Amino acid sequence: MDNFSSPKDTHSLLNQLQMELENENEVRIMEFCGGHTHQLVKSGLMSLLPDNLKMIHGPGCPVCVLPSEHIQAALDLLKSNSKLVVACFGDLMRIPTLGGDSLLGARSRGEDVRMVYDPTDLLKMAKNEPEKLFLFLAIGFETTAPATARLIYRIDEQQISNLKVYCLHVTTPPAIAVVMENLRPERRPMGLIGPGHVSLVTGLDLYHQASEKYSVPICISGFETNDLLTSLVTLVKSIKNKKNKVYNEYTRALKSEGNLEAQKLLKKVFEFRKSFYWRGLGEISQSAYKISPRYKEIDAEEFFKIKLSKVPEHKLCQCGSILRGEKSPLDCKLYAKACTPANPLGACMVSSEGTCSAYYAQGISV
Amino acid sequence: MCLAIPAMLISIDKDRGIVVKAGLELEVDLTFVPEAKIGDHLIIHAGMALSVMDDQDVRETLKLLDQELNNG
Ligand code: SF4
Ligand code: SF4
Repeated sequence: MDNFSSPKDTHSLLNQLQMELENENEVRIMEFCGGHTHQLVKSGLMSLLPDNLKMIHGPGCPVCVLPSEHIQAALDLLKSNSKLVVACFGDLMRIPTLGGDSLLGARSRGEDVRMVYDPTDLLKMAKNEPEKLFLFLAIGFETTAPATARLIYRIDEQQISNLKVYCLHVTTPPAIAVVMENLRPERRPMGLIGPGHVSLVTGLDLYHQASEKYSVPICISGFETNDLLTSLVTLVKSIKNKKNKVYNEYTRALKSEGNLEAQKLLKKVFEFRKSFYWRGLGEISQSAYKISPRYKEIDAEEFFKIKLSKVPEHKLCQCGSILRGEKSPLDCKLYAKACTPANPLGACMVSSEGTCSAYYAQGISV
Repeated sequence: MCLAIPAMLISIDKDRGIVVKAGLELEVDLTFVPEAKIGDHLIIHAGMALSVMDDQDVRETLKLLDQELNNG
């Protein structure tokens, strides 16, 4: 599988892209997924692309789109409950609330905050420490939701009563719709690079609908440099030929029906929320999962009676416009000055897949 | 955040398996890939195997996409 990072192929793909774009007007392509943004910047590809190819960075990072009031809710629970352990994926630890607090901050104050890579590790922890009460903050797109579904299924099967799940999973199609419907025509992408790992679970159906509705070609891509280049060549050709189709570049892993077993479990464990507030994108209906009533004993929202109070974002932070694809980090006055990965003021600087953080890591400056 | 890694499956015990990646052994959940066999490369995310990989190369992929593009 090394072929997907071979420099020789990179070179010839870049040439091909250049040829396809010669004498063309501006072509705009959006990569939805933060993992792709990260790879585009990290590989240096961003600076090698032809000038008339404009990449628009999408909202595809679950850390970036999570409003900080959920973190605030977890911090409040930690204060009021001395038995509580908050567990989460590493990226979540550094999301700042407006007061500058974070889960990492809570941990350095001596609160019990633990980072997990595999959520099912929590089953063992909860059994080994029955005097503690565990709260898992579950975030992610369809890629990650199956792991949470599996955790909930096993908590239920093993009758573990001291492990609760706060389900904050969001779904991809509504986010694509918001971006496509809200961008001004001169900013709107003419083609989309679709998220490879989300698609492993969902399959391609949702993209067929989006491609038809917004009249754009969509290419689902893997995460190596050559994957991205192959997808770009395919999209540019397809834009030129006015063919709005869905292409699967990631055939070495992705089946068009997705993962049926995972889809089955998602249906069983979750249902859609009426609406969910996304940072930068606002309220979106039917865009997030909640735990289905049959597992309500495990649902942290029920158990802790979680109430949210809206936490405003930093006044100058441009994450909202960046997530909507309207602005770049360079349009933010705080970028690389007051706001850095060591001291993030907005969510896009937190996760390495956030657009601001990806720019900063490469020393892209104003 | 949903970076997923390919890794080779070296043992299976019902719905649990062991994969190796860069010399490191890792336990994974195989519930979603009942078809997985020892020696397969799996894509792993958050401890779950999400798919079984096909060996393939760039040029082959590009050729396939080109065919797609030219067919209607
Ligand atoms: S793979 Fe999924 S979670 Fe990861 S950056 Fe892409 S869309 Fe976001
Ligand atoms: S640089 Fe910081 S403050 Fe500015 S938009 Fe990015 S995350 Fe927000």
